[in-house]
Amino acid sequence: MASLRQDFLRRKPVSEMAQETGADTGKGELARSIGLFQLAAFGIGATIGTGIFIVLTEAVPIGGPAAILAFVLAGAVAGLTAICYAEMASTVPVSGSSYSYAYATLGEGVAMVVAACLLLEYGVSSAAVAVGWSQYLNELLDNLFGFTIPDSLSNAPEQDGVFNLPAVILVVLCTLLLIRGASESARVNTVMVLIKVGVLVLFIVVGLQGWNSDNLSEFAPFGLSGVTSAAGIIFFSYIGLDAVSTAGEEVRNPRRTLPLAILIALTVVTTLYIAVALVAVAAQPAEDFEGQEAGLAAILEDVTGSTWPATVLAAGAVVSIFSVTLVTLYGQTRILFAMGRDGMVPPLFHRLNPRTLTPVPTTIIVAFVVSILAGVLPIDFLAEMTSIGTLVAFLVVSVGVIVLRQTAPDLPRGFRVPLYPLTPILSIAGCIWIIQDLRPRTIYVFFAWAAVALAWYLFYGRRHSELGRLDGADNVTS
Amino acid sequence: MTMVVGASPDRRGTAELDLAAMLARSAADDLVLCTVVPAPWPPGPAKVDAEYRAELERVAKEALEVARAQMPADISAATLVRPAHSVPAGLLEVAEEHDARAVVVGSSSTGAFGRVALGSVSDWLAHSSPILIALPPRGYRCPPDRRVTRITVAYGGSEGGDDLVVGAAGVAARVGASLRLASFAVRPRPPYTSGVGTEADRAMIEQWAQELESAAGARWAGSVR
Repeated sequence: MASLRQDFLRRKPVSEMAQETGADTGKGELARSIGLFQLAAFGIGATIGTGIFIVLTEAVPIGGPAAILAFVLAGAVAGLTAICYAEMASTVPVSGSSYSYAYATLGEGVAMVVAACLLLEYGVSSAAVAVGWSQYLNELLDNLFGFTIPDSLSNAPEQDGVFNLPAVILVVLCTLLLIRGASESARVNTVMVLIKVGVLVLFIVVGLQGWNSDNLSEFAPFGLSGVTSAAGIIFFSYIGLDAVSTAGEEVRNPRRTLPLAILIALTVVTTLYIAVALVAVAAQPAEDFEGQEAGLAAILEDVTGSTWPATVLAAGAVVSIFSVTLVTLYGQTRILFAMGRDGMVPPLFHRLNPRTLTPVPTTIIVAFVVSILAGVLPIDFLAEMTSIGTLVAFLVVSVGVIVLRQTAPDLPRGFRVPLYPLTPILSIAGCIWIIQDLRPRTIYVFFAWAAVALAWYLFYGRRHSELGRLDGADNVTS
Repeated sequence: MTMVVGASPDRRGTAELDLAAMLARSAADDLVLCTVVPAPWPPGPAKVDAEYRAELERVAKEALEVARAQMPADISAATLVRPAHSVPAGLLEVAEEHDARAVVVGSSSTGAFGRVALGSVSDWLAHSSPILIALPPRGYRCPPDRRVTRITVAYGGSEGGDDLVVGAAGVAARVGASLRLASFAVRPRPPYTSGVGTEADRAMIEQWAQELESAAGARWAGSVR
């Protein structure tokens, strides 16, 4: 048997990946059809998810009104990581998750760690998003019918509840759709983006009435460290920007389009976020944010004294967050599917139902786990776990860019990061800076989770790896 | 011309393949065997599914090869994997692209053997397809040399019924089959307590049948055997 080091570093041959994914069969139809502004629009749509609807409640108590600066910081790091991700995605001639890229370039062990991060970025974020949805659903029910789901059934135990039932119901509904093989069309996607941007603009315009400069007088009560701590949780609202990078092979003139699209999406999203955050922190004292549920809707209600703007915002949030949950759950099941094919998780995970052509067992398992997380964990913890998972995944990708430039300088790259090696180094530094200011609890749990993933690799993945099996067969014949 | 056959990878029988082969032979058409797979998502966080999509393609192609292998030798059948948001929508897209004469899909697997049963796909198509739909009874089998010899139209004498006859006559002409009009007088027997006997309606029905027959004869004289 090969040494642990050899196993850990064995890489999936790129040619094999291209063949497996049929890169030469279906790709031609899609080739190079997306232009700059379309791609930027996709990026904006993918980035504005649930984050902005929920992070202020968590971030402002940590950073004070200066949390608006944290949006710039988190946005800059998100932009750098997205640019590095774009080079990684264009070097490996398949489209997939960063797990696939890591497997092809950095080795099986690293891929497993990245997969553990992706479970946070997709699975745990589905739970976070579902909890945020339940807050806005409650707000909407309250405004429309004067009825709220009792705290015991809509809060995590840590927040004096028992179980977050609406969040679980959302996960179950999305699961049913995914089992049936539902997918989001480009048109629905566009409508969702318009709804999300629309309600945020509504918040900015209506919320301006509540402007009170006194609330900004003590701008940064916790100094710079307060800002970076807030950036850790705010990073959650930038997850999805990397979606631009994965569209590389469908983009016309990627070398120019990709960085520009990332820049445009980042500028638009950051401007929108900062405007929302500024209006919010000017509308109420920083300490009022603590524990505020369905934050943006609550602020609108306080500012206007009438319920209709809050109702519109809550309705928009309920509709658009539904689609975000669907997307992240889908992503999670497909990442596990890929891992199942590679032998990193049991074969059950890549079993397709022949009628619906969907991975039903995986979908049910994911739904079960996500439901439990959404039911019993508070949203700030879920959001921070998502942030740290995503940050570490991007950290690995940024390191990967440098490693590949050293080890395989001749590989064709559809896109190269500008200002190499400054860009990946800044990206790595930014990720580390934000990570080290997260709450210690988050960091400990993350390390424990990474350790679990590595242990899983040692005792399961390493032995069941399809790649290892192929290698073993080669050894026997040679 | 072409007929599009919806082939599912679930291997729940080959009724639609048998029917499609017979229809294609009769009309001297080509077949396109088509498996619809879930559509790709728009660019976004869902674009992490390369491996899944590859597997979809593989499973679908494998199923199509099995289906093509079952086709009688005299039938020319192409295969096609189509990503679409729903199976009926995908089949209709393919049918439109190939300017197809008909779409052949199977009965629902929840129906009884020997009966036509609408499932989610065939129901959707039956209600909204702009082109012909061919639907075999569940468990339908056909030896590999048969042709369509006769087409029966359920005829009630109404105006819509005329259109149906014209349509069916067109199909019959194309496949070289005879056309038969059938009308069904469905009447419950009068209750015993009415005191007029159980055969009291017979004369009425006979007259109705006569009228219908002469009307149809006048309208379709010469074109109907």
